[in-house]
Amino acid sequence: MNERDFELIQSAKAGDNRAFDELIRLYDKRILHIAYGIMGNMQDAYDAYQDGVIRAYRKLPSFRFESSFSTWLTRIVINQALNMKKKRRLKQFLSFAQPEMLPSEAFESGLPGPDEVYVNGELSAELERGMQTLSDRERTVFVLKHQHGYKLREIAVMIDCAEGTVKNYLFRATRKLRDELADSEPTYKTQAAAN
Amino acid sequence: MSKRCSHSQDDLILHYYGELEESESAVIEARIVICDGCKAAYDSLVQLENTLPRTPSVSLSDEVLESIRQSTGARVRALSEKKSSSYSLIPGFKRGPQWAMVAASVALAFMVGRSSIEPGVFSDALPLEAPSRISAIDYDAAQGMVQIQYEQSSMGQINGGIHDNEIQTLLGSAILDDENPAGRLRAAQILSASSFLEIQPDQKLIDAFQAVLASERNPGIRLQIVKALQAIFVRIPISEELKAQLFELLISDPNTAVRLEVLDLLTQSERTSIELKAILEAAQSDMNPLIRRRAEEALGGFQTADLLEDIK
Repeated sequence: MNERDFELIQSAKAGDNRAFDELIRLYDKRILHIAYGIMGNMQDAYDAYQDGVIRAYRKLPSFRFESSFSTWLTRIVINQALNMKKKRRLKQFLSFAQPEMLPSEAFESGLPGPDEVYVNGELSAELERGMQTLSDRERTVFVLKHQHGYKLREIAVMIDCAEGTVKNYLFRATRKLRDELADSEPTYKTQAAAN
Repeated sequence: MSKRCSHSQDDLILHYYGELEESESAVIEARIVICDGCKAAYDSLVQLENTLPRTPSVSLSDEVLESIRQSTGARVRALSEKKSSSYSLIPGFKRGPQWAMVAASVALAFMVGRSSIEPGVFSDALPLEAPSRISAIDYDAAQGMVQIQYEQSSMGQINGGIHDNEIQTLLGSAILDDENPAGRLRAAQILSASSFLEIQPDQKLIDAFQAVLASERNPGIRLQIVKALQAIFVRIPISEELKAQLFELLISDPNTAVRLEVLDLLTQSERTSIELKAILEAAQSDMNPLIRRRAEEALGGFQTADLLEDIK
């Protein structure tokens, strides 16, 4: 862990909110991208990210420097995102929830709606269709590896499972996506050629 | 030459993602050159990259990011203010000394005698979030007496009945804040072993139970808390908030014993409801056979109750 992180963590632990804020700013962009990869839309990613940060703030006194702060924070946000997805499925199962989410604080406060967020190469629909064939954990591992380039051992720490299990998630995710995208070959070839 | 081969595709994926040692990667590189099947598989991985770029698929502008930061920062500040106001028992003192003074006053009050404490006053004053420095807790089940020993010799020990709100509050504080898991577990065991049948426990204690169920990683402690709730909610309706939390635990808690006790708690305290039926139906596909059977039995019981209701 670098010295700056260490100092900020110590200050934040002592109750300095500005230090906590500064600490979060170092990693928030990357973590938001990870949350987006897991949740599939910016609204849910924002909710998972923000709840994760609040949880990290609450748990900060128990942070024992056993991992880097960024790994610890990423792990909390990933947990939050996975729990959110699980809860949503449960709610749908119980038919408690309304089918569409209510406009939340994020949109009310001027955050971008899905249409306002630029998605590379306009691939979002096809990409999301492919990603939806993955389980939550396969998707998480794939996002962390494919898009963020984490090592498998780091991912294992982040999602709290063995490295071998992470490998298997990656194998399954890669095969599923390859098969899924092969099924939509014409579009895929056009896009590949364009690139 | 066939495009299918018997070589490991897993190695190709690991090679593609740079997870192999240099020497292992060299072997795979050579294989890709000589084996059409491996080359085709590797090409498909590269093409995958064209469709799914190796960079985050969303671009956040600085403006959006700043807006997210502001909003998150506001929530953190609100939480921080809430925290500090709950500690502001004695203005002008920092958290540690405040807690010491409160604890010392409890100790003094108990030494002088409980008759000197006005009912309800103390439990309103002491925050459950107060940091706990308990070194030992003893419980005499026959007498219902609890003895809490503090690390600081100035605080000494506190004795009281388990039905006293003050003792419940101190135990609630211990399950939330004691840094030692053994201390949290001991406090939770005492609360679960106690009978709350004759009294309504302090709402702050129930709040503490909910907070522990939401955040405690130790399954033994979660289990004791669920048992404590079982002791409390006998023929008493469970609040909607707690019920939602228990539904979630029943479906998602990784510990089988916790899920089992939650199932018992829900079926012992809940009347038939559509939500409970749905959750029991979900529990019928639990990975544990005992939970599946209990859920099935409970559903059977509900159906019988429905039939009796219809006959009436």
